[in-house]
Amino acid sequence: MKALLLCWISILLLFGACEIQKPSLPVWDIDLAIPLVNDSYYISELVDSVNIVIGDDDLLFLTGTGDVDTPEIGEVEFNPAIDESDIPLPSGINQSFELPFLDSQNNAQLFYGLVDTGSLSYCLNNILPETQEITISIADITDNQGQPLTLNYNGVDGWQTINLAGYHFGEQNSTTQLSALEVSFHATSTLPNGSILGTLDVRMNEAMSFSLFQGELNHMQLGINSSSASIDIDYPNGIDEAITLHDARLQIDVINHMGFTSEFSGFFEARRGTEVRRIPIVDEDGNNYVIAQSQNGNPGFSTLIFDNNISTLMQIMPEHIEIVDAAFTINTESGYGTLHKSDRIYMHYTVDAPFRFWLHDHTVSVEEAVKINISEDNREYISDNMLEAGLELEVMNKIPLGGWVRGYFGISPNIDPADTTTYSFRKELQLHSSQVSDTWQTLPPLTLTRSDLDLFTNPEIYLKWEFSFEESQSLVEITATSADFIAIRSMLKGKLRIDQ
Amino acid sequence: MKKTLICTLLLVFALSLTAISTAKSLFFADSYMLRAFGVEANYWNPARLTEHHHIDLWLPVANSGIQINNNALDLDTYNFFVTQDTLSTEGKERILRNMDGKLSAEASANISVFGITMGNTALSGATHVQGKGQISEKLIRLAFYGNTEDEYHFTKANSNASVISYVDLTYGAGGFKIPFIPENYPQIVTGLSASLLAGIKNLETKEVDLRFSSTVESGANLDSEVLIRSGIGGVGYKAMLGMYSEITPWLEAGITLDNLFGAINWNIANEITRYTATADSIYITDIEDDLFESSDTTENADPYSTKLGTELRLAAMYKHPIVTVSADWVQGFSETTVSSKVGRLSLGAGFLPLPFLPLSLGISLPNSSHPVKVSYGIGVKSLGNEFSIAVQSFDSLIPGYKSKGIALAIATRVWF
Repeated sequence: MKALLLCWISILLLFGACEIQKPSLPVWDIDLAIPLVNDSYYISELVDSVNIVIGDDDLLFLTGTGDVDTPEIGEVEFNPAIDESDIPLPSGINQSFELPFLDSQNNAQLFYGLVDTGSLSYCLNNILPETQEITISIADITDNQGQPLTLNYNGVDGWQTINLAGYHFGEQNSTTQLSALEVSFHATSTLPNGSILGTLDVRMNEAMSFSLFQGELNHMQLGINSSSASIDIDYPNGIDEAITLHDARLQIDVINHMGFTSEFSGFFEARRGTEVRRIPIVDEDGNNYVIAQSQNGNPGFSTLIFDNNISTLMQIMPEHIEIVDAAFTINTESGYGTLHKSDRIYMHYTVDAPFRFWLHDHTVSVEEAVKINISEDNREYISDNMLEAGLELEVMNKIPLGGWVRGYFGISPNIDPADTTTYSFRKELQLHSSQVSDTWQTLPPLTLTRSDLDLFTNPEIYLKWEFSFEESQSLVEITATSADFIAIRSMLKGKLRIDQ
Repeated sequence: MKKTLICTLLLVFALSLTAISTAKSLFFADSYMLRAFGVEANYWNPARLTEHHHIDLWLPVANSGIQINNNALDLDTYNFFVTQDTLSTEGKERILRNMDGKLSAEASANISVFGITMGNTALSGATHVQGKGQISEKLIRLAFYGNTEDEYHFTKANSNASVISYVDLTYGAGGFKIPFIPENYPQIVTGLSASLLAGIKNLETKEVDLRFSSTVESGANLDSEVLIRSGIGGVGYKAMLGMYSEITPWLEAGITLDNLFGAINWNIANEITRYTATADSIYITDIEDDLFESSDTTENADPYSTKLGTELRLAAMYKHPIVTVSADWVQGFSETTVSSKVGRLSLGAGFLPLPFLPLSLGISLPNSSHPVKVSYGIGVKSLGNEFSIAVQSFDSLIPGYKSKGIALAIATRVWF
């Protein structure tokens, strides 16, 4: 019985001897799998209808537009060269005669004109004292009320000059050339009819100009504002080294406010460094384009399209394109027309470069590293809790572009991929083009080790991207149908330390 | 996450208190129906109220017991867990290996308030706090290993908690012999007790439906709803009918039906709290959007009843001047906070090696929902009083580092 009692006491003491530790939780590691992305990125989403558009056959186009114009054409100059002397003035007889009115430069045939600058001079010589009145009228020169230009004798001798600004020569919209001015005069005196009362001298031998001109022009040229006709192309990150464009198309819509057809001449000049290529702006037959004229107050529209020729320029991946030696010329081929001094020509140009190119095995490095700020909380979390991180990636590439993507991580913005001392580590992945594989590609997981993660304990880190393309074996065309996309699905996997 | 885990574990243990009828029953691992007499017979078999021919007294707190246990973690594992700086995979598996699908825990406390016998009647009162809780093993694996599976689904079946606390005022009358039994046949004595229950606090899990998936195809999805119903202040009742018979001078048998009509009606301050959280197809690239929506709303709830499931207890006891051996079988008819439909067999033995030194031993055999329980008790007895203490070990024969739970009890009896 004593043994039984001893046993009982021993059991109670055994329990009493048990040590129960103070509650405290250890730290442990867990694996988290978090969906990162599951999306399809369609080429058509690049279309903004402004710079990137979908063209024929769903081909994607890079497009750029701009406007070019000419200066105002200004006044049309005319040199009449009239110098008539000793025209007798008989008393009591109405007489008339014609003054030849031709451009001494033989450049313009005036049908109608509104004078901007110009003058007419006349002189009444040896007028007898018996003269009562002398009235000289030029019917082809009228004022705004349609009254012909009239010269009256007022007893003053010597040359008189009439400012013709604002006067009209001929009838507006006349279909015949104004080649002579009809002058009539009437003189009265106390002398018998037929008595010569004196003589008249008339001169219009200085250049005059018309702000509104109707007629024919043998030659008149209008240049363009060349500074607005150039395009500078800044290829990002040397992408031009990796791509050769196959073709391009330039369309110029010309809006002509002049009432004359004109011939457009000029050259496209492309420059890349010291290499210069120049092509004439001509039609398929090698002729200059003829620009339609304005009619009935409505401007003339012409569309000039360059496609085959422009590719010659684009294949050098030009850094600068300019329209040079360009002019609109009015000539005898233009025929009859109307010019206002404010008339000009506008050009709206559109450059379309289809996404059709050759790809070269060339590395494109983004010039500036991306700065990434890491908050103090996240730095602490990464330092204390994150042990590993990784990305599991699957990609379905339906577009004919493939290559390598590399990311260089460092604490300095001066990352040089060629110098391993300028960055901490790099990660890369290869994506095959649809020509190689158009099903799901399982990419090797991108992992960040603990030592890699230490970089993210800095308040600022830098990431520099580098891309290199697979050399294309044939011409690459990027279309924008519903079957042109890149699908990505990815899980973010991390090993975390649970300690709080 | 770690705080969440700690809170969840504490919640489980704090809310997990199961039934102790009286503190002294812990001495015999619940094989106590034919051992209880005096005030205790109010709770075990009122037929035996007159078995002790004295006035029996219960003093406040002098008869109290508390137990706490779980199905998976022994003291050794607990000590291992809390002393590790870093928990390795082996360490995690050591904690998880015995969970068998869930970590369940139970606990209860019983504290005497007063008690007295008067002839063949007794009046007593006690405070009861009991409850239980479960956490799915998969949820713990999620906390330990992260989301290594694509989908998780947690339901009330393996993730829940409930607690109930009440004070009883019990009046019993016993010692009634069934008439018309011939003198030369064993007499059958009956008794009846009725309890008025004053509910203090009730909390129960009404609904758990938590679905979480994380796949690259559908993103991260969360759809969860948890309903917790609680009540403060309630009134209830229950009754016990008992019989026993001394078949021979050395053998007794008895039967009781406990918790008859047992229920507590919570009708003073009731609430239902609904916790919801949803997330639909979340990817990290959507980080600028709201990742998920969550809400918790609390509404007043209608009065409700907490059923105290009826239990049938059968017992037999062999008596010897210095040794008694008993066996109790308890069978509930429903799953409630205080009853289980899984039957349980308990065996008890009492020794009196010296007239003043009672010893006790009990073992409750394991079943599908409870581990084996082994009790050891010792006391000091004199002419008018007795003081005893006992310890009970869960899932280990000897209380120690392999125990998955512990119960402690003190019992003080005064009679005159």
